[in-house]
Amino acid sequence: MLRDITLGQYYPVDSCIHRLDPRTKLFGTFVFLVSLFVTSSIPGYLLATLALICCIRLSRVPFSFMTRGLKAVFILLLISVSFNMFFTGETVIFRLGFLRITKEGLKLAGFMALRLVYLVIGSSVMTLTTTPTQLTDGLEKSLGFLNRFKVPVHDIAMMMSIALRFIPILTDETDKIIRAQKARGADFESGNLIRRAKAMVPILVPLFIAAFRRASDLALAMEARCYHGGAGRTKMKPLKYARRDRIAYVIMTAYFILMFATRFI
Amino acid sequence: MNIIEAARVIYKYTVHDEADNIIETQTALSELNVGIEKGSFVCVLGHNGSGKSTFAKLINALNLPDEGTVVVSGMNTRDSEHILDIRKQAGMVFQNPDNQIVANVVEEDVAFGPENLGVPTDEILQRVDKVIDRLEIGAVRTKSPNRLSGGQKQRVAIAGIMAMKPECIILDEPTAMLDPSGRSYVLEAVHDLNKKEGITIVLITHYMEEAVDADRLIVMEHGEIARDSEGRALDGTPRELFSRPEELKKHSLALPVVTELAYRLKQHGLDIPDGILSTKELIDRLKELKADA
Repeated sequence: MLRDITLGQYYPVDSCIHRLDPRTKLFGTFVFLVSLFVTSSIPGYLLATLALICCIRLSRVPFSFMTRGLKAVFILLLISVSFNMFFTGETVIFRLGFLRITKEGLKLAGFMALRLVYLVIGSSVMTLTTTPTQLTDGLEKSLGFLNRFKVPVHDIAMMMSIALRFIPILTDETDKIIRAQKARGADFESGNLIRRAKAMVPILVPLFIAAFRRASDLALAMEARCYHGGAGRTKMKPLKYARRDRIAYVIMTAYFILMFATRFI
Repeated sequence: MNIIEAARVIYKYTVHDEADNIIETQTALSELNVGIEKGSFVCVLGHNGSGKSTFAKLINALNLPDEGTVVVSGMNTRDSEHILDIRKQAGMVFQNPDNQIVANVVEEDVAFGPENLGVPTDEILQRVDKVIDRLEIGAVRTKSPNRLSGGQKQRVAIAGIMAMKPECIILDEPTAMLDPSGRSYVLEAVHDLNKKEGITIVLITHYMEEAVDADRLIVMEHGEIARDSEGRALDGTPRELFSRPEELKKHSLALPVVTELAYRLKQHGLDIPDGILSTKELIDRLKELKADA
């Protein structure tokens, strides 16, 4: 049951967005996020909306999946909108006690909300169309230049992919430990917050021990399979840019230039 | 020709305190001498703590002997230049199937070894295709390892080793965590590789049933090859060893069920030869006895 949790919420359908190289998608998401902060005019937001709708339609992922991420940022959205609305601007249009709503504040709050919503939906488009493995591969390749600054990019990517592999296994294990402790009379449901937090200790300790044991086994197995870091390593499926990636880059550049241009309208 | 040659190998585990002083040493291997012939199927038996897993790790150069030498395909494991060659030649499969699969997709995991060795992309694909075909795991090729059964996971682990084109595979209790059907699923693959590809197999186990089909059995005890009361080494074909059931029992090893049954029938006066290895053998002998009577 627990192992059915899809990691990174990948939505498996075949679409042209799914088939894009992960590096293209990473870069595209980045461009989109930056463009949202470059512009602050209505035509700009219209353009961004258009681009987003196109991407969503092309990805063939149902729109309801895109908005799932919004729940997590709802509180943040509310706070930033109300701050912008109540505490900025001069031209008062409505007043209630010490609260006042201004014209400038309203506009700013609206843009802020749009930005946040688009940020979340934009990155959802990427995570829904890219498997976690592709994502790590893409990150490793596109951040490769950091190697020159002594950042161990390969090692970090390897750690990420191993973490992805072991999350379901450790969730299973947690489940097992919880059941074992319950069978021995442990109580996780009653009591105040501190009591409940204390009740977690008998779960965490065996879980940590098991995780370390697994880590040491895995290290041994990797060594036995000739793993010796990223140097001299080849790939079975190296990332390769195709024609569609080049087209995507052209579209992204055009989009960004247009977005930048909206500043001067 | 011997592919693995261990000569007077001593290996000790040491326990250190905080100040790095040795507080305890345990001898895991004491003067072990053993040679394993190329292309053979050798089964290493012994109860927990007899040093059999330590021996496996020494072959793969995961541990280095304190004294004596281990030579794999003519390369000394002490020679750090050859360490990758040795690990490529003598692949190792471990007990826990979950803790040795690295990648999130089966085929990616099979490719892990060759990727580490820097094999060119086209050749990795060829090797992976071939090995997946060989071990008949094509149906799960693009699946996540988390969705496989224990037996399938062990086959994936074996495939990952096979993709490195080894001469020899060492399996350290590969079936200890599997159910009976998973166990035979894995062993079938191992026997197949031994017979058809000529891969040397060193199978470490404490299931006697798995030892029956080996070419040679080695019983280990206290870090060396066990000896019987007359000082003969418990090292030989399954038939030779299972003909001496009392000796095996002394080393707390249980006989395979059929062998045990035949042995007890013999004790009750039936004329049955020593070292019966299969049900068929026993039935045939019993039929003969019945016909005679």
